[in-house]
Amino acid sequence: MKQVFSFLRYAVLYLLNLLMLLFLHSYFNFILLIVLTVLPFLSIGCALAALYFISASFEGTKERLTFGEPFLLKIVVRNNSVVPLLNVWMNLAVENAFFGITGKHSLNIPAFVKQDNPVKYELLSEYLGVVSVDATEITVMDWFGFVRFHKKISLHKEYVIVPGERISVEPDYAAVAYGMTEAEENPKKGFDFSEVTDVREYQPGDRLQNIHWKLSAKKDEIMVKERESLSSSRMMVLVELESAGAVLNDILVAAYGIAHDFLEGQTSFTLSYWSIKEQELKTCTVSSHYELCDWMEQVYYEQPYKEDGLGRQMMQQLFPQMRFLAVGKAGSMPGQAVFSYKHSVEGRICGD
Amino acid sequence: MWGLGKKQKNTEEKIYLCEGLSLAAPVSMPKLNKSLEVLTRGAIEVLIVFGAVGGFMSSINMDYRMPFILLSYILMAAYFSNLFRTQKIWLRDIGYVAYLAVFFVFVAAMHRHINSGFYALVNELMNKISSYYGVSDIRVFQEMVSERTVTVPVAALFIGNVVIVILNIFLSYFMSETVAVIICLPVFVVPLFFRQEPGIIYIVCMAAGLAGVFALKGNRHYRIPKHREQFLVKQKDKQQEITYGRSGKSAAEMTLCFFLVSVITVFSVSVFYPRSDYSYGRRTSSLKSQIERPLGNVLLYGLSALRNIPNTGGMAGGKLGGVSSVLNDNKTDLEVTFVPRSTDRIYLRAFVGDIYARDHWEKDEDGLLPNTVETAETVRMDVKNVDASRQYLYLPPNMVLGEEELVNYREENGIKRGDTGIYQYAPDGWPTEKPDKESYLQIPEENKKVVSSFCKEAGLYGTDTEIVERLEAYFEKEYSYTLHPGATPLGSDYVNHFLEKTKKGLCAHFASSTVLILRQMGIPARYVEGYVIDYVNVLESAVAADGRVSDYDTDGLQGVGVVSVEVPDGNAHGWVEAYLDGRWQIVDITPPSGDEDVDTNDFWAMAGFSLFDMGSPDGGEPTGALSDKGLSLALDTGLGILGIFAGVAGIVVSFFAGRFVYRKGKRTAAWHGKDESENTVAYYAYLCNVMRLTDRNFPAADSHYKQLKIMAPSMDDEELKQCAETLERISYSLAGEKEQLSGLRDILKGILKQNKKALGWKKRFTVFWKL
Repeated sequence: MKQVFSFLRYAVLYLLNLLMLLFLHSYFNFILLIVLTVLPFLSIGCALAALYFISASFEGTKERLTFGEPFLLKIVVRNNSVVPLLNVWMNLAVENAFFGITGKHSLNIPAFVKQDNPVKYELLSEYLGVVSVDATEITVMDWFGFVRFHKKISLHKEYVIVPGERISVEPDYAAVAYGMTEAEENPKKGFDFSEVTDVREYQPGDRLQNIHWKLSAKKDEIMVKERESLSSSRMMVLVELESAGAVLNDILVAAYGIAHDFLEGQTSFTLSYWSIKEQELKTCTVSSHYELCDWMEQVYYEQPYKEDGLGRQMMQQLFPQMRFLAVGKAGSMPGQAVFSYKHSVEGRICGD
Repeated sequence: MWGLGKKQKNTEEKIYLCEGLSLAAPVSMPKLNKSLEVLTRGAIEVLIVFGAVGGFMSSINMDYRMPFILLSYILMAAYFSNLFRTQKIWLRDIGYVAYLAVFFVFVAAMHRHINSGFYALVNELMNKISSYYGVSDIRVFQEMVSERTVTVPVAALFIGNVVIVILNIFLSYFMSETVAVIICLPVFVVPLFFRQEPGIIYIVCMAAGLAGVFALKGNRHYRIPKHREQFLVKQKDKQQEITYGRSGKSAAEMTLCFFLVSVITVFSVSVFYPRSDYSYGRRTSSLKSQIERPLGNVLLYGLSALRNIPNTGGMAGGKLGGVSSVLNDNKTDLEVTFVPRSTDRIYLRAFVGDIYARDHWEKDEDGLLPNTVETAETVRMDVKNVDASRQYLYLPPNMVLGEEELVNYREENGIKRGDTGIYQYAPDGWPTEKPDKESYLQIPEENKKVVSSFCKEAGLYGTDTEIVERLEAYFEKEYSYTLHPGATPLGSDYVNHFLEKTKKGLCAHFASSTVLILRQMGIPARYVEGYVIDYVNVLESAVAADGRVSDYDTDGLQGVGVVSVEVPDGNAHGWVEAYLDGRWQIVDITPPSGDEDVDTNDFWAMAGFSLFDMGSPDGGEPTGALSDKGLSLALDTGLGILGIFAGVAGIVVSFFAGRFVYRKGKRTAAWHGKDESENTVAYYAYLCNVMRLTDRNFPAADSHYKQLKIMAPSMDDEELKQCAETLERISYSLAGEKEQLSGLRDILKGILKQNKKALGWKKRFTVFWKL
């Protein structure tokens, strides 16, 4: 509509001059008419030419960022033409797929002759996850505001936001100890909860399951595996990807917090979650902060579920005898409380 | 719409790009170059104003010292544009007040030059218009200062100043194309109507300026932001738009593009299709043809020309003072065929008056008498009535008068249109018979005193010829001829009004006055009206096709022959016939229509030469600053200027002082009322107003406790809570014990004192200005 008004205003000036020319037959009005005729066409032509030469790019800070700290997105619009433009729009879309959040806006900036115009966004995310920024289109407007021209572009930038190292949920370690599970060997890969620390000669009383048959055959004497039992060194942590928004965010932060606490306390643990996409329980042993961040990033590409306690259900179905630390929405879980985070998230020992 | 990061009532207000993702700081671009922004707007203003004003001047070929004026416009535009660089309105207001004070002084000091400059422009325009219509001697305004090299630039400066101020406001706030177009186009309508075209460079300037305005308006990046941030957030079609406010760099680049395009286009057109080849310009539109004549009459003669009034160009038949202007149609009234004897003016008399009666002359029945000297040689003259009044005969003086002519004259049987009178007259045969008619010496009572006083003033004495010469010199010096004398007021005497009041008039004024003056000096005289033929008319005339010199005058000028002169109504004239030195003679002492007296105090001489005491530019006596005349002039002017400036400054200071006293009084009254609770609440409200102006965080405090915490951060928390409770109580119920209130008041006073002490001068001034 504004373009129509711009055109109408210009048309009024043009007509006024034309009327003066028809009435007065003056050379002044004649020349002015020519200039007024040339200018709009030149304006539109220059806008088209400028569109061809305009490009954009994203620049920014490191990709893995700490939750709660601002991060920089730099959008650079480059104009390689000699045509200045007062109005260039970029359609930008931001998304946090894990939380199902999207937002669109357009950025309006000028384009200078043969120069870059960098625009800085200092962003702050209130949620963990992968924040992606996409630019899909550039639009330019001619000098007089008559027409707009569009050009498709494809720019993409991702920022992975993980919690900071300082998060601690201050768990109740007595409850943690209670929650530790006896390690049992399970042929299903990934479900071996004990670790072989040594091989020795058989002693009366050793369990038959621990006999190292291969080595025994070789050595011609019975050798047994010495295992480190989970009941003394490993905690299973199940993270419920339930709820949405701030609660889900707090669940992830709490899970990160408890994992961080375990790492600090050198408590062995595994992190698990139920994957809606793959319909299986995903488990990962984490032994460092870096692995923890990797695990978090992996979670970001998952899909949360609406059912409360689905992860717990699946866990109990698969491992009915097993105790684990479930991290989920407060008030929705039975079991011994291990920690509470922001009154919205709890960690409780479930199972058995 | 709100700016990112601007002062917000709720400090938690954030801009979200989507849920959970907000902007931690305002979006930023490389720092705006405010100077460029200012320059661009100033440049557009200069282009428009210079194009319009300069273009108008150039269209009427008026020299206005272009470089000086252009520089002045640039400085003015830069100044006013710069005022809008700041968001502080009070600073802008001060800038305007200061400039207006200077402008006022300039106008006061130069008002004569400004007036004269305006009149010069109008007169020059009228000259062009009168040339267009083929009308001569159109003079509308008297230029008190004749130095156009001074007055026209001063007037251009004045006009440009006013236009720049107005344009700057409309461009800064609204980028108003309407105002820009109104300044640019209509000013050229009148000159262009009369085919006066401006120079090419002015077309370039106007085109570039207008294009700049339209472009900035269309792109909508011209508004003064209400905050410092570069970007604004708007909700547009259910989607957010983060848009920048203004960019001086891009506006400057774009304006430069427009200027270059205008230059290239205009100069290309003027090279490939110059004005001389512009054939369309030689044609006239039908509408223009229809309004050309009426418009010309209005412009040249005023609105009364639109009314159908009798053409008072030509003879008045003795009537005096009934018109304020003479409207000549310049058509031929008479066609006179004769052989010129000399280059002297020839008089054809039609009406003779002897008795003056306030606003007319009574017809002298013996006006054609006495007859010529019998022995005088006579020659022939044919007078054909083309478009003159049929009431009169148009007879050369010293006619060989027949009875028929006398009867026709007395009975007003004039010559019909199309008819030709053939007369014999004696060019050198002036009658010598002394007139005994009393009326030729009669002066009405009403006029005696004025005429007598005039004669003394004019120093008229000596022989008859000397009296006439002195009178002529006096009229030339002290009186002026004009076609627009103004009507004589009702009840006033025609001659008295002329001699005493206006001192400017038509030939009838001079002739009528001369008759009475000569009579006062004892010289018989009478008033005559008719037509005159000047030698320039003879030179413009055609040779009479069938005229033989022998039939007319064999003693005529060599090589001229018989001529047929067209005498227009503009040649109608009034003069005097007086009996001087023993014979009747024509006394025609109406001054020529030349320049009136002008002021020779030259500003440029004062400004440019006076510093170096080089004397006036025309080589006259030094009027420089070091000369007595120049110094006293400079001192007088300087004191005058100082006085005016002091007066303006005094008014401004009084205004602000009065405002301060009023506000202080109002506040004091509010703090010292009957009710202590109300007083305390009022005092606290004032304290809060001061804090709002001086502390960014204060507006966010939403309780008394939080407010007091900001006001007095070092105060004991318990004490603060107590004060807050008391304030809460008295704010809602106004109930408070006297001692408690007194204690609270002391605490608040202490807080105010402490906070004011900690303020810088800028914030102190803000508090003073706003509260």
